[in-house]
Amino acid sequence: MNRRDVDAIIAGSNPVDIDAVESLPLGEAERELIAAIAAVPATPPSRGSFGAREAQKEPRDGEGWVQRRLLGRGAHPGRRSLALGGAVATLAAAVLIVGGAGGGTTAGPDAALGDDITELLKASPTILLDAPGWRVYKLDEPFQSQGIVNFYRSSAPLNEPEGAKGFAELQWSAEPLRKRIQALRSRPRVLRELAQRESIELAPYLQRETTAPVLGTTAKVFIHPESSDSPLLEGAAVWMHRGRVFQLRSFTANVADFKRRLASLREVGYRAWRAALPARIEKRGRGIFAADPEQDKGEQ
Amino acid sequence: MDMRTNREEPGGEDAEARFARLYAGNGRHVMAYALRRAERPEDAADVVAETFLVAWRRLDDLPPAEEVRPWLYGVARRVLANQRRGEQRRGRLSERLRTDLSTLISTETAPEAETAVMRTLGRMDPRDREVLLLVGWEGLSPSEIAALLGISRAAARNRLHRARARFRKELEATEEHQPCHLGELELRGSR
Repeated sequence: MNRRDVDAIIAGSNPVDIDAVESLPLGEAERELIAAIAAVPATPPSRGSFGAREAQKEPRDGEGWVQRRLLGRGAHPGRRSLALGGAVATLAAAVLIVGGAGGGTTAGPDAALGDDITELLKASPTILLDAPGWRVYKLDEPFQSQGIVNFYRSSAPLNEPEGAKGFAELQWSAEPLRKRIQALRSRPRVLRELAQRESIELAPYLQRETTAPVLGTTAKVFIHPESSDSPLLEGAAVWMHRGRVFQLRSFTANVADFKRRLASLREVGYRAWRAALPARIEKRGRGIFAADPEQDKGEQ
Repeated sequence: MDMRTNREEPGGEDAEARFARLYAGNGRHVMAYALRRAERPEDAADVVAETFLVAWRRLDDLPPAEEVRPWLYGVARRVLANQRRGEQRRGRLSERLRTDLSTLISTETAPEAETAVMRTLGRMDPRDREVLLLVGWEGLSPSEIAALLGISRAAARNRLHRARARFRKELEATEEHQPCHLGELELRGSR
């Protein structure tokens, strides 16, 4: 785990998403606040006043909310297993919007989905393949910690060979990154062993390993021929993002195309994410599922 | 009684307009910083109000725009510390913001909140935790952390380096991660 992994894991624990805060309907309250502050004398506060102290004083110690809330009031921050509690921990499943101020409502499609589905959607990774023609056709998220989003390119139907170039699958899970990388590295050996067991003739399986940028970090990329008689390549890229391991799989004509497709992944705000999903979204068990029936049928 | 001043910048923009612009560019980020650390959403509203009150009083001395957010976080940090010590009286400036935030933010406990990462953060030394969160949650650079904490860049980098190492060691020592289902993809490429 390098320093970027550490930062990504901690970023993934962020209890308050800035997109969610920016979408809060607080305009009126903030206008009132700004006006109230601007009405306060702008002359510097007198020496020793709270205003002077607050601008200059250093905290007495490093105690923060975590110490108060997780360790108990007055506890020494020793090494011990703790259960989470407290205001910030309770926000960790994303800011839960329970209603608008001043009688506002959550109008629009989400009002019809229900609070539980909306809550699950808002906790999902909001990553789209931002390239011309690409759409989401399926979301399958059995748990909040793992799921799959399937993309396709509308100009390349799935039931044609060329359509393989228009398919991409983004998965995420809580698996350690090193395990995922190890699994991908060992894929040629696994396939050879499978071929031997099944008495299948398998052409030499050459897998190339490289790296490529994605979502502000660097992914490990594994590229191999789709099959012995196909001109297509299958690429798999893995990286850490907000504490989860992500993997993009896609078939492309060459390595450069795969890297471009990887680089076109974008993290968007909730509204854009929601608008990109198929119309029908349902709760399945503890998770959610959405599929465009026409395209999902094409995959079967 | 109207106590407003008419401080002017070169170019004629008055103080209120400058202040409104300052809030527009940074208010929600300071709010997110406060929400992540305050005990209740209402307390976060007070932190936002007090932070920008300080900024209003020091409007002529603010750092350049690209450096002002870490400065605001620094003020919010001290306001939070005062709040925890009970030294901060609830202000009247933020009444409506308090009400609105407490309405909008649910404080129901989510089971998913109790992750290995949060437990690890909870066990760490507060100074280590602080720099890790400033990077991970607020996205600050070591230089910005140095400015916020009032320490040298070298000291900020060293503190961050040690904190990451300690976090990594703590996290790897804990039970973590669930079984992966990505392995199902392994053999799809075989024909």
